[in-house]
Amino acid sequence: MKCDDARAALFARDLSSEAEAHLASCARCRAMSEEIRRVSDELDDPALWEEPGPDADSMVLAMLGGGASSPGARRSGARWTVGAAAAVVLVASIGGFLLGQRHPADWTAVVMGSESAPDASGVVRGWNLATGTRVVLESRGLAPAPPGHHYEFWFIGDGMAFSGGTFLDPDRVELLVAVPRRDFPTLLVTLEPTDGDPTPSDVWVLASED
Amino acid sequence: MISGRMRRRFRTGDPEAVRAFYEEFGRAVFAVALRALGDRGLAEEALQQTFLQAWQASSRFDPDRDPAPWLYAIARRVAIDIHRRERRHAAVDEQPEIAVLPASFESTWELWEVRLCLDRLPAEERAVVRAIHYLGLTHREAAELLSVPIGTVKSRSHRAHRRLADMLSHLEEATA
Ligand SMILES: [Zn+2]
Repeated sequence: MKCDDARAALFARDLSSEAEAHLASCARCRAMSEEIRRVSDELDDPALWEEPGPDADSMVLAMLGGGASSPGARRSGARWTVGAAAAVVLVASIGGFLLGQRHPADWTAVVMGSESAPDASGVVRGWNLATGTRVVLESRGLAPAPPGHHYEFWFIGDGMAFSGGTFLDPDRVELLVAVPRRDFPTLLVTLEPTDGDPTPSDVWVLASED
Repeated sequence: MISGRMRRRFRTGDPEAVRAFYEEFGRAVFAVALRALGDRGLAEEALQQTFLQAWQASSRFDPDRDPAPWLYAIARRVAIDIHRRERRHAAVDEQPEIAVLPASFESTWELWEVRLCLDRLPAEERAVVRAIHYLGLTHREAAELLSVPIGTVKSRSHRAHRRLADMLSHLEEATA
């Protein structure tokens, strides 16, 4: 018996006497058997097998540009379809996100330019969602981000910063922050070098007054 | 697998490419989030946030590199953010910045790899693996459930686990 076959049998918990004999005599397979048993146990974890609900699917797909993917692009056995019923749930569950400005904002805050952008100012409107906060930032007096840089929007509170995402053109952007505003009173826009550092840079361009 | 052409389109934020990423990695993101957070609702939120953030950061994605570790890193960070937020709301007295992540955040990379490998199995082989491991069925019970002869269950199980073991040995080499 080959190593691959013996390992597959161990993995599947379907050991024949032949496979057991191989595992007993093969040092390489024996060295791996602990690892194989561990991953075999991993395969029992429900987290591996549960699927996101259709609402989650359709919300992500709508967020990413709308509509179902073409049937030809879908893998066999995949369940990432978008139906009309799901689309209704989507609109109901995330409210204004797709509907533009139809709903009035839950809160509005003014952000003012800091030392590095003294002429800039902006307005931030926020919609409180079950899954965080939808934010629209409109600003004046800020140029598009220079090469190698981008702007990033933050909720700040109690020493913690939550990013709402990055953007190049600060005139009008629509963002989602994963947390509710009530715990993060300060709004901040930074200019970030494209360096992969996940924390806010020191270059604050807009900040709320609190 | 995501083609190089699709990776370059992803970099421009092309929605079709982002959807292709979602179809390829969505289940793995959800599995990691569900393991880490232990709650379906929070895991679905993490799934949405991960792809939103990936989309927003797409201009920083290097199309010459494998997108899997990049997306995994985003998913894990999103799950950590949600975990901290939930702890804050649970009015725990500890300081969030000194808190250690729970054990559920460990070995999520391995879970991620296993889920991606399952996604790449033929559907009928994946169904057998699911029946044996997740549902805990014997070969005979799996054959009844799937309405195929027991010999077919055994051969599919063997093929699937051979592929999984093959993937595992690649993982071993990568981490050795
Ligand atoms: Zn061997």
